[in-house]
Amino acid sequence: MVSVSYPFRLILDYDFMRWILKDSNDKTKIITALLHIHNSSKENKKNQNIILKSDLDRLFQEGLIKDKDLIKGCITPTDFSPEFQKIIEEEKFNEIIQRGILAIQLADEPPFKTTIITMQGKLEEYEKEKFFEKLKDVNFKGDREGVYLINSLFKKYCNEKEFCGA
Amino acid sequence: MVLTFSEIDFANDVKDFISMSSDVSFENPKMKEDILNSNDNQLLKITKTIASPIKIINVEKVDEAFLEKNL
Repeated sequence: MVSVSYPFRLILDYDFMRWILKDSNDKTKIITALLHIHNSSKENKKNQNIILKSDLDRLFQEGLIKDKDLIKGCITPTDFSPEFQKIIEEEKFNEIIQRGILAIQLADEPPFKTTIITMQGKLEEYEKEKFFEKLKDVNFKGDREGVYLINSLFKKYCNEKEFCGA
Repeated sequence: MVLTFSEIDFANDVKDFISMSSDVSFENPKMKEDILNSNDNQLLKITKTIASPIKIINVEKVDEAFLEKNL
């Protein structure tokens, strides 16, 4: 069985997922890569690729997802604990900070690093956010670099598969 | 009440599940054959009902044609 230690976990934000499902010419290729990465992670099997539950709910509501189980096979919707939820509501944190909080939560476990993938046009909003100023284990990538990263992780899976003779 | 749900797994994990679980049955014996004959690294979408016992009611290969149809 192919099992891979990936160097970071992924959070895919609403805008990036929307682009994959609605506009990308490589939709099938990207989802194939995400399915394999998500299911082969040594440390986070079926929890390697994450989406904020509210982001996934929006995509469902917009009718962009034909097969919910297929999408949940490549990204796990995740919500905050009631304690975190209370703070988020009290502080009125926006969705960018919410994804950041999720990334920090995930970086508490192996492989201790998280990359948030968004659209190029949204990248600056993450990079400018003061909340993230001192973080070193949470990175942000735009769509082009994000697709490249996903392909790199998938190559890691393919190489491991070949090495195992699987 | 019967709960139905689907999951995507590598065939190897599904083979482990059906060999380890005493509570799994199949709507059609061919489904078990299809699973056992799949390449370990083939992704499968398995639809199950949870009543008593767990019953596998559908097996689909998650390949390019499946993705083209369902995305």
